[in-house]
Amino acid sequence: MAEPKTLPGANGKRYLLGRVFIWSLLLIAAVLYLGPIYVVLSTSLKDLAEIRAGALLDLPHEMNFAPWREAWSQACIGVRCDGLQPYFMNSVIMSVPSVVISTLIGALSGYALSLFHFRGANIIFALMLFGCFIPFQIVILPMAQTLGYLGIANSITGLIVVHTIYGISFTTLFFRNYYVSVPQELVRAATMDGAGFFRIFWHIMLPLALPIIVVSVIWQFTQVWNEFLFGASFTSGGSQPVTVALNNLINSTTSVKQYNVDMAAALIAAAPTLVVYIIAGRFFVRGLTAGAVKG
Amino acid sequence: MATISIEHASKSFGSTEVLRDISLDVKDGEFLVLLGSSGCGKSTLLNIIAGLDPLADGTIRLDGEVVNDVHPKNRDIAMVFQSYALYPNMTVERNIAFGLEMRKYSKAERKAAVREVASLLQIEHLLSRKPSQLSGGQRQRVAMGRALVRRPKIFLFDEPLSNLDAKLRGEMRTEIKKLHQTLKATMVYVTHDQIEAMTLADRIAIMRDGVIQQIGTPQQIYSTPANMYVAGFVGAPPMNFVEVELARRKDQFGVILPAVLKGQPIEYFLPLQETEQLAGREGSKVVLGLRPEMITHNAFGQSSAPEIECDVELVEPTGADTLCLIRLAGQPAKARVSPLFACEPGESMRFSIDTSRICLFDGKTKQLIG
Repeated sequence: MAEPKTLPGANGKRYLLGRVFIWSLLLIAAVLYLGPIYVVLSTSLKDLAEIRAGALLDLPHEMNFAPWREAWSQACIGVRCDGLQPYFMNSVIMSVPSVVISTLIGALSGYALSLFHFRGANIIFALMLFGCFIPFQIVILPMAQTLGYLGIANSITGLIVVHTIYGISFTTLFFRNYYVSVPQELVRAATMDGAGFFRIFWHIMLPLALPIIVVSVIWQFTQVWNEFLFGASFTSGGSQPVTVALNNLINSTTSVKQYNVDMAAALIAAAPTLVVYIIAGRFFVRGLTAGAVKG
Repeated sequence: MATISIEHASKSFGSTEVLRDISLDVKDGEFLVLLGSSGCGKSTLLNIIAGLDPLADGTIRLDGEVVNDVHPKNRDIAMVFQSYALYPNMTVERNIAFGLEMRKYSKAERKAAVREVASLLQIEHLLSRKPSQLSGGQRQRVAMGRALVRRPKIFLFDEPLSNLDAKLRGEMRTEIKKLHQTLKATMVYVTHDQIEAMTLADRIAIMRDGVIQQIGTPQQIYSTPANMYVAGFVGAPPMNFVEVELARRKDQFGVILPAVLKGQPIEYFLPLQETEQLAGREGSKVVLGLRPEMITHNAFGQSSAPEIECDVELVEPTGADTLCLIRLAGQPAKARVSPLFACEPGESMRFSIDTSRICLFDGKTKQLIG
């Protein structure tokens, strides 16, 4: 393939003009996105006196981590004054099983739907896809009732169940579309080698799906961690996830508005999804199956 | 011992019949090639033997035992796929050992078995690589290794060489033949390449539209093709078909062969043996099947062989032989002559015709009649 740079006319004035245009556009977009983050970050490091003095865009006079400490372990949410910490742990306990279970189930059902052509596979897949388009608000009442019957209302376990079920539609879609491109002969070869449905899945198909596992984990983790409505509806008090706790912290009207603590709390609540993006994104490799089949 | 016996097998996908009442026997240690163009049902037949596709009607026996409902893994069969189907996430060593792993062999046994197969196929140096790091030929060897390592009683090959380049294909063909001679295992091999079929097979089964057209040794298929489809499929360049009339001249039975000499039409008479099937059919039209090597320069023919002289329209040198395009009964036909005697295009030349090997087909049923 020809290098675009070596093509005739690729280094002229028009090229330069184009570059300048593209770079300035990107710069404007970056400022628009990073501006608010800068304000939140710098405000969280200022003390209250400095905030009241105005100058929203100034850098903090000194690095002041007291608001972070307070948001994490001292701020009062409702009657408890332990900060975000316990709720943050609630979110971790809620997210990890939800992500793992829904990804595994999605992988298994996607594998079955794409590589085992059983009767009605496409109808089942269409019905599962339907789940992607059901808004949260519709299921709140029936779900609350179901959780009550199951005896897991107002608990983290209940939230895990809700998020797992809700995630299966999406993860199945991801894995099904990935496995559709895997050649059928791989399953046939493994069958001849004596592997059954689950062993083919475990030894061959799951390792093969690493890129889509990463996609599924990022997607599910972001969804579950950031979710607010189910958390607010199905839990109260000590079992609330961090998103609900953050809301309660910021909306409490008992004392002076501590903007710096609010900002720090917001950053703490948002941090895990960012970390997942930064870490998992690096493993987001394409083309693991390249060259697996034909020469 | 490993025999395969298929009786009245039928199979359809939706409304298309893929196999129609197929009956076939494979002897112990035999190399059977299923030959046919794409869509003739040969791969489906192979998958049915493997157990990967269920049989709709009929029975399939391995060693005399009905295996219609036996799972593929319990049939003691190994298969090499067209795409090789190597497991991309595993090393070559684990790819080869996977079948043993699934059958709960110990680690040491697996290792020993893999070493043995790897040295047989000369891929010892590749054992720690992943399939994506191998060339096409190396992948092919690994796929063979995966089949060999279990020492199954039957091997199935589904167009294993069709993804290789011409040179490598020739080499691997020889190796597969050698392998068959050493292992003396029963093998069924699917291909659309008639050269592969001719060189490898003990017997060839030619299929078309889900029906076996003919089963026989490569020589039988080549010299006495059951019908015009088989005759045209096997051999390169294919057999020439010329529509002629049966006749009797001076008490000699034969056919009238119109040709072109110096731009003018001319008729030759080819005397033929009058068999029972042909008797009394004078005046009727038949299709004469002439392989290019049956029309050769008159210096090479037997002195008793009939000769014809006709115009050569085109000359195709292939190295060992030169093909001359002539016109017989209005249709183009190819003659295979030595490059030493080939004339220039547009000139005329004397050919000798080997009538002893001629095939005659019925024009309507397309079946061999003499």
